[in-house]
Amino acid sequence: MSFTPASLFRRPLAGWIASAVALLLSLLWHPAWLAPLLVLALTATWAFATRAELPAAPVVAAPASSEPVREALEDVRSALVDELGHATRELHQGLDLLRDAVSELGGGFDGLSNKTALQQSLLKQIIDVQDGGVSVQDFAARTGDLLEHFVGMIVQMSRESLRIVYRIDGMAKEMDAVFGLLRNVNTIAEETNLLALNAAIEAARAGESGRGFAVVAGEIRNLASNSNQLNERIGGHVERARTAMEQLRGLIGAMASQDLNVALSAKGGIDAMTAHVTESDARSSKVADQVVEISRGLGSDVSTTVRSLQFEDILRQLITQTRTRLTELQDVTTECTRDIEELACTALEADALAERSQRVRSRLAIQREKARLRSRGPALQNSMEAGEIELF
Amino acid sequence: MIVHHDPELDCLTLQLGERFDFSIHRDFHDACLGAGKPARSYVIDLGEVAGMDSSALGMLLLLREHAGADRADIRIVNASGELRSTLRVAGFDKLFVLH
Repeated sequence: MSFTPASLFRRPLAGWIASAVALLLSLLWHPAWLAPLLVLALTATWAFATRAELPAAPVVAAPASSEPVREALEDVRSALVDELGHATRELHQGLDLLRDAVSELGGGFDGLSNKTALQQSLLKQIIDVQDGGVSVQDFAARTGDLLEHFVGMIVQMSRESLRIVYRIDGMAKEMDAVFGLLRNVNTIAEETNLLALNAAIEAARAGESGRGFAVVAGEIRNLASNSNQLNERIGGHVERARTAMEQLRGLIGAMASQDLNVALSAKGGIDAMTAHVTESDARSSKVADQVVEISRGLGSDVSTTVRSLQFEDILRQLITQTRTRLTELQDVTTECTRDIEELACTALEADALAERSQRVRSRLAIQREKARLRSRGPALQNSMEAGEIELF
Repeated sequence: MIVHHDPELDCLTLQLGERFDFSIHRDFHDACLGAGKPARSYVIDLGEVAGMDSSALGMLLLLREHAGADRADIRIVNASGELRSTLRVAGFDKLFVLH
């Protein structure tokens, strides 16, 4: 701060007036306390007058070097305005990109949600079909019943075959009895033959008178021999009948002796199958439940995600606000730099100077007030949780 | 096949051999299906039996008929798991007492 003699003569009006008043007072009035009081008042007045004028001094002295400052300020203004314009355009571009991306995302998630719902309904159909139709378990149970029926039939057949076999055994015993009787008849025939032979011998010994007896004895021998032949033929028939019965017994015995292992292993297979089907039914129903659960969860996830896409609205509001701020900032920058330029480069009266600087300040104050009001405004949503969207 | 009759209880015990099939049908008949009064109770011991076919089951059914059908007291004992399941498939667990 330089304090030159020239500055004393520029505008020390208050100082000069105060000095004149002090001189008049000291001449007209002579109390002892007046002198120090006057000295104090004068000093204060001069000090005030010179201090108030000091700020104006450099500006008044400046005009000679104003051109470089103007250019520099011009540069600053154009750089700031350009940069702010770029930022505004970029924000606009970003907003477009955001809108497109969000609309695509929304479409994708809508598709996902539709497909999930479709999947869920298909799954429900499958479960309904499984519940309503004839199950493999029923099939196995019926096959098991059939098998038991079949085994029962075989056992009944065996029982009846055995009954027949026992009857045949009884008949064979009767046949054996017939054989025994036939042997007796044979013995009788042999004895008859012997008797006839003896009779023939006796008849020969009797001579002529025994001739007729000899003929009878011969006939008796013939009869015995015939009887023997008949016996043999009966015996042959009975023997053949016995052989036939024996064969029949074998056949019926084979019929009675059925292997039950096939039926048994089939039964075991059916039991295993039933157990397996029961287990696999339980497992698949559990899996189906899980899939339904997952699909439900997926639906809820998708709805949460779609709700989260509301961030686009909030972000758009924010970006729009930022764009407005930037545009206003452009205007403010243009106006204020122009005023500052004038303040810096033009020689102005102190009043005009104060007025210009005041204008700049008030312009900035207005801008600050605008910003304050905007940030208080009702439009902005701060959290995603605030809105709920029910999709299904 | 070993047959044992307890006169005190009038109980006939049949201890079958390795095979219980058609080959023993005559012995079986002679032991318990022949003419004469049936015993009060029967015990069929299958402890040694390794193989059994449908004729064995037929013989058991004939014995049941002979012993008075529903009034018959016939116990089948010592049957192996396989024989037991054969008897069960044939529904014998409802007709006889299986031990």
